[in-house]
Amino acid sequence: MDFWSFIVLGVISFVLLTSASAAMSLSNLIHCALCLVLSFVCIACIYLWLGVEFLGFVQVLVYVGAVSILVVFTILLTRRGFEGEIIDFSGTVLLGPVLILPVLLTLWWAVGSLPTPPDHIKTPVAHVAQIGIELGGNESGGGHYILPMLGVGILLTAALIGGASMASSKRRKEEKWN
Amino acid sequence: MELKFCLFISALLFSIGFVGAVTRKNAILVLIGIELMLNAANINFIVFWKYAAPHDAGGLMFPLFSIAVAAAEAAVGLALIIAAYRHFKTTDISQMNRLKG
Amino acid sequence: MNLLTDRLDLEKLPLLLQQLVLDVFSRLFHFLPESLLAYEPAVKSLVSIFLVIVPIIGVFCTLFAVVVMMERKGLGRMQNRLGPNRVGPFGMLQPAADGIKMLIKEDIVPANADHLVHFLAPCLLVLGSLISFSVIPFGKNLLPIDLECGLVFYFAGGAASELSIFMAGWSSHNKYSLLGAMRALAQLLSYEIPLILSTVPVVMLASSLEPSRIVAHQAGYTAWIIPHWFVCTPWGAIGFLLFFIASLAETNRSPFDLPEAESELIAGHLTEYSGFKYALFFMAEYLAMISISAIGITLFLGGWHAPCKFFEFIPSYFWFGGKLLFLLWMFIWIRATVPRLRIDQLMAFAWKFMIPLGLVNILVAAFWYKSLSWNFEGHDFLRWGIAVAVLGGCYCALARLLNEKSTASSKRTYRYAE
Repeated sequence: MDFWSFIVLGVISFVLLTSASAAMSLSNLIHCALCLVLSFVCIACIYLWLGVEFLGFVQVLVYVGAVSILVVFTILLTRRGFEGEIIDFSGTVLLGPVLILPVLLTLWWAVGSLPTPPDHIKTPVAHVAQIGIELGGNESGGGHYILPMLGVGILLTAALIGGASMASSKRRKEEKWN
Repeated sequence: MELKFCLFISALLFSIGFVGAVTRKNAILVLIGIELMLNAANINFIVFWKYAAPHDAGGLMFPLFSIAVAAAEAAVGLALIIAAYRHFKTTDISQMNRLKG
Repeated sequence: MNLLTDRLDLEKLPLLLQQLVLDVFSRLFHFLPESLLAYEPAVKSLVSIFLVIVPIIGVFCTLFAVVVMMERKGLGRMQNRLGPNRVGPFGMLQPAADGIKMLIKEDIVPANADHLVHFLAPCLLVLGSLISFSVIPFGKNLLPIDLECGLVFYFAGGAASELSIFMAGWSSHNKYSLLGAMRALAQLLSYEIPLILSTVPVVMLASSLEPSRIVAHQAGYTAWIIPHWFVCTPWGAIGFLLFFIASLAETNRSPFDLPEAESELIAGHLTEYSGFKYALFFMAEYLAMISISAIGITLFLGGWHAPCKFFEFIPSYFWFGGKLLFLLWMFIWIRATVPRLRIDQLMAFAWKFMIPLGLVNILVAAFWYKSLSWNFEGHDFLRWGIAVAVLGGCYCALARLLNEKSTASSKRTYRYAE
């Protein structure tokens, strides 16, 4: 692989891991959310480096454009004081690393003992037209993912309606209980 | 070689997300950790598709659907956090330990 | 391409200029010592990247000044007054005076503000606005980057710049800034859906996400005077209407300029910005206006195509520029004419009118696509008839529903002073 290309991947991965760690360990919630946005952008850059541009742009559109804004709105709607609170770590701080260390070591061993893929596998160019044909179908085949797409559509509609109704204020119901 | 490097990165990202989701007290940070884990799995899919099985379109389709479903899940999860905040008056999950409602 | 012997083809002018600059650069490069000659291809690609970036920034920042001038003079005339007329002939140098004023103003940042985020917000907004220029075909040979999924790239850039509005509102450490930012964000998110929904029929009919192929699909004329632009079809007309209204909302222009109107929450999310940072926000808004007009032209108004066969001798970039100025004038005209919408009226309009109409538009466009293979007598009339009837009926029904709700709920109760 090209030396400069590897340097680029190294820089992107370094920024990704740093911002992900920052997102999980900072005390100011909004700074966590902004580091999360940076992580998403780095992941999109990795997708671009890997040659799947469509997925990279969809990642920016969906994650940075929608999920991050949802996270930020939730942080703003659930604040107690105006200042960023000091967010402590939970009492079982060591549980996390202790649980993940065996998983991580197993993954590293598994990845390390992977055989090198044969050379004749050509790195593909992911044409957008191919994605479209796979999803929707053509006169000459394809369209294997129509049902999943319909399912995702129904799921997203249900999530939209459910989320909106859950987050809306239900003062009347509380009054009835009291 | 690129395959292994990218898989290492996604494994590290997964573990960072996991540690954050398990250790932090705030419910929103747990969700952020879950999002990072989902993204790490997506990177895995794409890397394996590109370097080991480019003929199978599933390697490209699954992350696409995963992104869509993760967005829906984040929306519902955050709506749940807002609803829970309205009841418990806090987003601290260590204080959400009573079933009285 | 020999400059002296080839007939001067205005369409090929940009390519000629690019070749000229790269030739001059190669000749200069050979004057350097031998050891650096190996880097020539890398530096050459860097130079060709700059050849794309510098004209875009130069042209569109100049166009920004022109649009500001057009707006102030145009608004003034429509409000029965002269616009600025002191600086330069007919006030033409007013943007320069404004720029100098913004640059020398004191940059006040609140003491409790988050300085890093406060600094980054306008920069990221300008980045998002500028980067989305790179997939728009400005002329036959003037496409900066030919991306296969160019349209998704454009909307991704737009979505990414929405976050910087929140960053601006939150980092100012001001309750009203934050409220203004949240309202602005809610508006932007609500109108992003009709924006993207209105472009789905275009992608369906052109079978591609590439802007250059979408423009190529709109070539050709019927009887030499009616172009095959997408706006000349029923679904395209409604799609363009939806796109235009959504783009008014996306760029916070009147009648959707609640987030930044001077009488609303001071200046909303821009309250604590002064000096050059405010100028950057201002520039980013106008650049977003220009780029969303440009993508609207690409998708619906035929891109760089001429409206009639007779006018094809005029180069493509002139037609693009003309259409762009026309759309920008529409933005300004609407600002001068239509009053501002309230936040609840805005939201109701997006969710209860534009999204259903957008969905029906997709259905009608799908019907149009299927009916392209009809061949019987009078199939044109039938197609047009069904499409116009469905769209017109839906439009009227939705408008009536929207109207009923607002008039029904605003039953006026009068309380007189005793």
